[in-house]
Amino acid sequence: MYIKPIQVLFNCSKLSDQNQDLLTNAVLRLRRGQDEQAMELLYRTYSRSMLTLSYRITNDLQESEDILQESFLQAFSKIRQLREASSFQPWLRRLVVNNSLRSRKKQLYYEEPSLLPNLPDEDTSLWYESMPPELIKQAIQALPAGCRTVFTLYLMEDYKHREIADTLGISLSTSKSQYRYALKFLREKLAPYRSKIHNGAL
Amino acid sequence: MNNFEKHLREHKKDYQLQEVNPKIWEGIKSAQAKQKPSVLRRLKPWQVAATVLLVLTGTFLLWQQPAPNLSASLLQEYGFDASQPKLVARAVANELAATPVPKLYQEDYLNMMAALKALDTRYAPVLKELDQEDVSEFTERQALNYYRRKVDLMTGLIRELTILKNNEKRYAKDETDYEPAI
Repeated sequence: MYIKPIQVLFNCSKLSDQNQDLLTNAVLRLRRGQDEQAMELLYRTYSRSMLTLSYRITNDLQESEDILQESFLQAFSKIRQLREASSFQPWLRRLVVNNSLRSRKKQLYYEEPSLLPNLPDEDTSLWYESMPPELIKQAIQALPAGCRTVFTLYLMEDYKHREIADTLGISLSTSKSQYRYALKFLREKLAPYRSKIHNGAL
Repeated sequence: MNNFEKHLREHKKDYQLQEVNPKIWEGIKSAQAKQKPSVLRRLKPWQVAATVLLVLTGTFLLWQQPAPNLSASLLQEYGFDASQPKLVARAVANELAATPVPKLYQEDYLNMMAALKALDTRYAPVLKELDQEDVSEFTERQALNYYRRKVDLMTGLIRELTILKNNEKRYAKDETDYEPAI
């Protein structure tokens, strides 16, 4: 039975070398001219993660959907500017981040570290392992905008603090302190569920 | 990085949004459908090669026409010394045909060749006039102007291609950190 490349990709949780080759090939095909199949493959592969990224910055799903569409259109129309086909994903991610921040940058605020809840940094128990992902997702979304953006870029998107500081126009120390704040905030937000999980109520 | 952070990073896919609105893809598709690709971008590599060959053959055939009887003073004025401009142009065209074109610049190269072809078409009637017995100075100047411009364009193209080819490896190396400005 013939399996479409898209199906192959979705059947794998992590991109194998072969799948990465498929994507690189799709970018190369797209650079040669319009190729709807190549566009669809790239879109299906990256749309979910890019929408999530934008949503974490804007906290507005409808706005993020517009940003996603705009970013893909930009990427497809400017794909010839991308010299290295294998770097499509970081390039697209940069587009999504820039487009998401464009309207939100001035609205991002960064709470003072002195206002942070006083929680220990390290936790020896592995309480989070049985925490339903949906609860963690909600807790991330409930983070204050500034530290949620820092947290997303650092932990979820593998940015360095220096890159985050440059992207958001903040200092290196603000980026680090906001990230620490995000972690503490998450643990505090999830704390009520810990006992429920412990008692088997969740 | 503590265990909690590691856990979040390892399971980040579980925290993604569940689905993407299908209307987004429909919007992208319809927006793309409105943008018609250029003829050049739709060509396959063998078609590109055939086009280049056709352009070069056409240009070559044009130069095969009998050499016009141009006055020595005008030749000198246009920088051809005593040599026939047709021969000079042919030599440069041969050199251009032998110059390798870096992959990244194939389209720019084809655009340039198309511009050269347009120049040939524009000046074809003038070159035809040179075959007649009584050729005016105006026609001679037009023909020489054509040869001069063509030789200069091709020489410039060879120079640029050589520079690009020489730096191709360096560009490829730089690409690892490449992030195009948007």
